Amino acid sequence: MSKTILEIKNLHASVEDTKILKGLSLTINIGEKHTIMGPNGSGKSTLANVLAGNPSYTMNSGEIIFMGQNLNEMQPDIRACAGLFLAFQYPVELPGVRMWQFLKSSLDSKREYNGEKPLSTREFDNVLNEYADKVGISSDFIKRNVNEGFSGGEKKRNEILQLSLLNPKLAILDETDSGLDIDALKVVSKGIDSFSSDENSVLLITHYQRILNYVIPDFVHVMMDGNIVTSGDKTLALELEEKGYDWLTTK
Amino acid sequence: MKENNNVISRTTELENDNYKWGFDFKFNPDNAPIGLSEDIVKLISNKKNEPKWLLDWRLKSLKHWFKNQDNEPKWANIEFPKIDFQKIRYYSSPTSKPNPKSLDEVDPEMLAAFTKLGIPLEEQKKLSGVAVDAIMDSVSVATTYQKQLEEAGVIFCPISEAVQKYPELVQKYLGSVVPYSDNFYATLNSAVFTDGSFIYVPPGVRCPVELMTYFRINELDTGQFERTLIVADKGSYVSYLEGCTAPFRKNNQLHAAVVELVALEDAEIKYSTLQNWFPGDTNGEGGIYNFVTKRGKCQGKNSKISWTQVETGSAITWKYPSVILQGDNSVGEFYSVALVNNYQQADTGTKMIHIGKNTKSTIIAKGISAGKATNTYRGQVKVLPSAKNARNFTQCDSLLIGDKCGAHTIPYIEVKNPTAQLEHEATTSKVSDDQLFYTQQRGISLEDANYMIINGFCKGIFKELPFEFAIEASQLLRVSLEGTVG
Amino acid sequence: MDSDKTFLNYVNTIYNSLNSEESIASNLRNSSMQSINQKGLPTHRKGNEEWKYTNLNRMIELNYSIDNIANKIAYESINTLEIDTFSTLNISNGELIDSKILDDNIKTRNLLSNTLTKEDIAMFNSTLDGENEDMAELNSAICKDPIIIDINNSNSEEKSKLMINIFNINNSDSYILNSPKIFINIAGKSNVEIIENHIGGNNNLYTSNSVLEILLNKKSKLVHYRLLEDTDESIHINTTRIKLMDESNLQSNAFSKGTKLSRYDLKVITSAENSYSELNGLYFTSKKQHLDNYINIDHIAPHCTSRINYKGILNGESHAIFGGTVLVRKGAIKTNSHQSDKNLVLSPKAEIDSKPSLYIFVDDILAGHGATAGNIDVNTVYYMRSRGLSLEQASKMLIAGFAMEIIDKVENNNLFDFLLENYVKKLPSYKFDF
Repeated sequence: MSKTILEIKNLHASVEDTKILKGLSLTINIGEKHTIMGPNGSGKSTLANVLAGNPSYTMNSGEIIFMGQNLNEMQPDIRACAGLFLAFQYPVELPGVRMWQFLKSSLDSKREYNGEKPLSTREFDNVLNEYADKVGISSDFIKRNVNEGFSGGEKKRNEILQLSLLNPKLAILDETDSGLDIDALKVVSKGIDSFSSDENSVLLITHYQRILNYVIPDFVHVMMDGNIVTSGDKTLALELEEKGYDWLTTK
Repeated sequence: MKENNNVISRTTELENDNYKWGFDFKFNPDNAPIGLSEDIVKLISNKKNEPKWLLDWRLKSLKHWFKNQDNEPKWANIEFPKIDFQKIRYYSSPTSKPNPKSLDEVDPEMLAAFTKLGIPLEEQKKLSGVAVDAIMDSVSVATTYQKQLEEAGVIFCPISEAVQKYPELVQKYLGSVVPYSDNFYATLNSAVFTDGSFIYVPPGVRCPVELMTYFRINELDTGQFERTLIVADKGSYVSYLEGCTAPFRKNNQLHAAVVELVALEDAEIKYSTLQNWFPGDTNGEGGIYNFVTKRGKCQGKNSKISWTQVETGSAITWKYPSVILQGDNSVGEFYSVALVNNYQQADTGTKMIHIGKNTKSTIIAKGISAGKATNTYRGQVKVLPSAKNARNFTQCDSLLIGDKCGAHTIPYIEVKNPTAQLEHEATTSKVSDDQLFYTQQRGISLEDANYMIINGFCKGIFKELPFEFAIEASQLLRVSLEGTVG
Repeated sequence: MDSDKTFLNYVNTIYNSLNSEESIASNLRNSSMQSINQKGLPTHRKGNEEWKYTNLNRMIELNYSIDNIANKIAYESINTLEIDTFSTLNISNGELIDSKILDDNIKTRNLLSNTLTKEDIAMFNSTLDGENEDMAELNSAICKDPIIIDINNSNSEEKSKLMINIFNINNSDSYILNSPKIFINIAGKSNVEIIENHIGGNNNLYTSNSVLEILLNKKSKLVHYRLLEDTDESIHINTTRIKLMDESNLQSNAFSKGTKLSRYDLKVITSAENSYSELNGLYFTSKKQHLDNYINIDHIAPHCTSRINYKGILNGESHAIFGGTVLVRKGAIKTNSHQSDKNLVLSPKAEIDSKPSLYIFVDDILAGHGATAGNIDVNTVYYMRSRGLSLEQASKMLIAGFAMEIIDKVENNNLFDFLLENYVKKLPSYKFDF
């Protein structure tokens, strides 16, 4: 099996007839942590949503190969089962849908896809409690409806809980760090760190350098106007912090 | 921003009375006999030298009305003694020379009268950027800015003139949005309508000025039955304003107008109303019965019709400016402030009928009730099976001032398509004591504080009005609120 | 018009058979029968806002026959919710057939057992005001066995729990008309839980036109559950009036499945200060069913709080209606009221008409309402699918979640389980066309 997890070739995508991504290419190998930075409107979130198969986004041309499979025609749930996870920038509230039921169904789906038996209630409870503890989500939370009435920080923690539970091959985190206070940021970073291993990869989309103090990336890419304009290692992020994005346009 | 001196002076130069537009003008009117009959309809048609098709249409309407004359609409939340339709005068012209060719032909006294009302019609004084068609009782007395409009190809004239000059256009669209059999008052209007404005904006033309009609009921016992027809051809845009006043009268006067709007592909019509008909005195005597049918049809794709109304007048208001969203992607909007005081009654709102795909409508209605008045918002949003992905958002807020008034909200949400998304929200409350106290504590009088808060409540609607009208609306609000607190 | 006449003839036949001998109920029936013969029925009279979306012709046009008295006994074979901690009254075709009372604080009297007094008869219709109550009037004209239930547990620590089963049984192939009539008087400081269960014999044809009146005296508390489990082909009309005295507390929860035609006319009247009422409802319609909720609160006394929270799920070619009215009368200052009606439309042939009205006659109050109609949000479905759930799984979960918001209010475990089994598990999923 190849060491490549994700290969994006010349990707063009749009939202409601507006072209956002303009020929983006990116390769992520197993065990790597990538960060994409860039100003507002550069297309970072669009990339995350196109990868996860959001029906509001249209892929116009190009190719996305995930674990050797062409993603183009795959439904969002099949992509998820195949091991692609997106932590949402704005996690959606599901009124009346209990956390426990939602998480169990998600995990069962994935296990079924992989030819595994669903966990028994007790087995699932054990796993869930273990991960919930790690991200600082109390068992009370598990009884509530998904994201309903959660604070911004609680929603993001919930995303990390799902990340740990579903244990994907590729975790895409769409500005998971924005709007968090320093304590929540630490919990989220720790969650990403403990998930990350030689067996999987991370694509971290962020606006700020500060999360990179906790999650050290192997590669930093800068996106502008729908494309990656430059790539480097973590020092690039520090340089951006210092000089801003304008420096790149005038370079 | 446009110059607005004229508009401000319109409200400030007048006397300090509660209803500032209540004075009566003395003309020697050309009146038809009181009462309704086939002869009266023929007389109106004859006075206006109308073609046969129009007379036939009028007579057909009259026949339909007589057949249904005992079926007045009764569902509205309003109360009034039965109207004797045989005691109304259906035609009154304040001058024996209707439809002047130019301003030189206009009776100087008439010009003076409109100047007193704040609508100067003479060339050197006319409202800047606003073309005005002034209508007194049943007849159009003057239309300004004719030349500029002609250059742009925009037709803006009294409907009686349009019948003569552009019969094909009138015949094609008259009754196409509000059929003669639509409802009791619309049927009556179809039989006896006297004047009103006609507007046609040709394809691709953005009308260079705001168009305005100023209505006034002057003559005693006279009903006003104007008919307005606006057609915006493909890709055109027009903004139209109407203002209304009437003198103090002990008796109630009937105003039963019909307004039809047609927006073809990519066209947009913005229709603003400042309605300040005489509301009756503080004991509820007199005032206008405002029973009006206003409806627009978004006939073409991507068309848009927007109604904005500020209503402080009339003893009784019964009107629901509506939009039929027929073209795909068409948009309908309704923004309204309705204020009632003393013994006024209003049952008003809108209808949004979604037929085309991806049609959108927005309704924002603000109601204010004071004194012993009753205010009812009645709004229907209907999504037909064909209206895939229709969207509506409705918000209705009501304020009550005092414990003798009423504020009612009656939405009708009717959905026959599972892809529709409709949202309706409403609140009813009084001006909060905390807000008043806070404002007063900063040294503002109770009355001013009250006005300030209520003006804020209405602000979102006022900003939908053309600038001059927004200022006037705000002034009107202040005048209408006088004496409601303390 | 002809069917109107035929139906009224049928009603008069029942009336005559009931009044063949002198009864203390004669007056009650007599004045109502006269009034109906005079006015007729509200069969979609033009401009009648109260019946705007429901045409009673669907009830009147049916072929009716006189009830065979042997029918009523068959109720025992009908499978329904049973909770052994509840006292039970079984009413069949409008008659109180038997009861199993576990609690001394619950006492019943009824006409057919000759236990009603003249004073008792005067209690009936005392919560009605005669406005738009034609169907309640019809019930009074031909009620066979008016029942009074007194509940007084003010001296007890224990809640009184009562299940009222209203059975309708008919083995013939024409319709019968049943008119159950119940008055429940809950004494001051009592704490009561009532389940009112409307149910019919398998595939039986009938029209059930019931009236339920409840008086909640000072500082009493009632949790009321109403289950509409009538048969698919049945017509269900119910008029419920609940009168709230000082500091009383009401939670009303209505769970309705559609029938051929049903109308639930509920009015809560706040007659004295500081009452609290919460009206929750969940309705689910499918096939060609027609269901009309007519939910009203009449705020007369000051300082009362009311909440209306109804939700509907529509499938098939069904038609559901929510007509809610909050009326705040002069003098009812410091009223705090909110009503909400939310609907999920799952099928292109279903129709929802929602009319949540407010009538406010006083300024020092807070009132609001909200209504929504629509389908499942596409972004929400995408979020769920990104976690590996299939389209069908996601939609089922969301529809169930929509219903759970109301079912969650149920504190009775037996009933909660019953609702999960009978409502939630039977909900359809939504068919997306993308």
